[in-house]
Amino acid sequence: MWTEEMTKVIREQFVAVAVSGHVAMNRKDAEGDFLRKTGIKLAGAGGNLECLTASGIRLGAFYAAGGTEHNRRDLDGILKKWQALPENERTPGAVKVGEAGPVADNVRQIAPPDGALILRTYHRLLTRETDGRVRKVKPSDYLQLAKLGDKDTWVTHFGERWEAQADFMWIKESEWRAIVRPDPEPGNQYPLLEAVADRMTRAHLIMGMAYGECGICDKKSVRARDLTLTVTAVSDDRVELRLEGSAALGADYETSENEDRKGAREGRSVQGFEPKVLGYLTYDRKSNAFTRFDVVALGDAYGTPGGDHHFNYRPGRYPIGISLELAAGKSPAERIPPRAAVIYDTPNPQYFATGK
Amino acid sequence: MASTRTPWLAAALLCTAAPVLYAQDSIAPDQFNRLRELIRPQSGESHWRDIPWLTSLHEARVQAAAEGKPILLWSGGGAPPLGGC
Repeated sequence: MWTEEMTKVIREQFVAVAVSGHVAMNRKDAEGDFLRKTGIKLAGAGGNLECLTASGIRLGAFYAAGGTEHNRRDLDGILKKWQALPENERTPGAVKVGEAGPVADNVRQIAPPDGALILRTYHRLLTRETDGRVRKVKPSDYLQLAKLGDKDTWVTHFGERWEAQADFMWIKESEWRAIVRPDPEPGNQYPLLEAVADRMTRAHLIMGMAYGECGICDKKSVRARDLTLTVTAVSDDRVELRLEGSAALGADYETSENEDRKGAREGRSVQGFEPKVLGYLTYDRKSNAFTRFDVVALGDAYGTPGGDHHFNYRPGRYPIGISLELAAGKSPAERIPPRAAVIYDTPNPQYFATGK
Repeated sequence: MASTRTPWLAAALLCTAAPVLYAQDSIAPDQFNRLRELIRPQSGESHWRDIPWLTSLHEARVQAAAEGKPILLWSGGGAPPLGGC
């Protein structure tokens, strides 16, 4: 779907909006009423790509798993329907959109807390070559996909394997202000603030997000965790820190090997992930803000996520890489909630209860 | 004696060696940047990120009406698909 050509057409000829299907369909306000009146039904899982007019006329949908040619035909059909509409639907300024009105409570709550630090995260499935180098995955790394050869099917269209999966992490202002301790000196070493370390581990250093979805795992899933900060440099302008450590989540390898369904369609997978972590943080003492928060994690994962995702099965251990970095948090796209911070259309209270 | 001790010695050596075979080494500082670039979206990937996404359907309607354009609405199951789904 997201080829360079398609993306160019969408950027130039559409106004693009991304929403949670659950929130959009169920919100109790004018925006929800409008969407429900269009007849569009957004799926609870899997997602949708729908096109409509500002006045609420449905133009059509893309079938994302259909492949590039299918999507191009979808686009042509949608643009033809748009062009066939009367001018009072298409002329700039012709359609009048009323005020938004009060926003539903649960929607208002799914926003970054004031002053929060917003980190962008990426998860990527990797493969380790025989010489130890890690690289991006390719279809031949997967037993089921390798059998398909060059065949173009809906399975190969799902991009979660081939591209980095994006998410966000939120750190409250009171938390990030406590990460750098008073009177820092080079060589000082201490654990990363517990609430942040716990949230980073249970909501973000998780293998599920490499497949595009996850939530916050429970405390029992964390077999071990050690995230330590070392002050590496101090000046009047800044404090620089190094974050190092590791975590062990889910089952241990032996348990996974013994109990995992090994890609069986019926599921019941037993997974585990053991990332190592390295990061570099810079705190600007003049602006009292972090100007760098770069973290990477790399570790071996094992087990098959999800029964009907048996196409994702790989035997043994395979590496997953995770990176975190500062996001400006100014655009709407950078202010969406972390996946673990919501449960469908409401905030997940566990997200900021970490460390307790 | 050597013939009965040797298997035990071999087993002991293997037990010592096994963690080394599978243990994930710490990330070397000189690998940090390369690893980070490998993980993050690379050139040619994730073209959807080049689109200026709104996250409010109302705001999209206002802009679409002003500009005379149709709206593309991308929904995810659990959250907006610009992040984890």
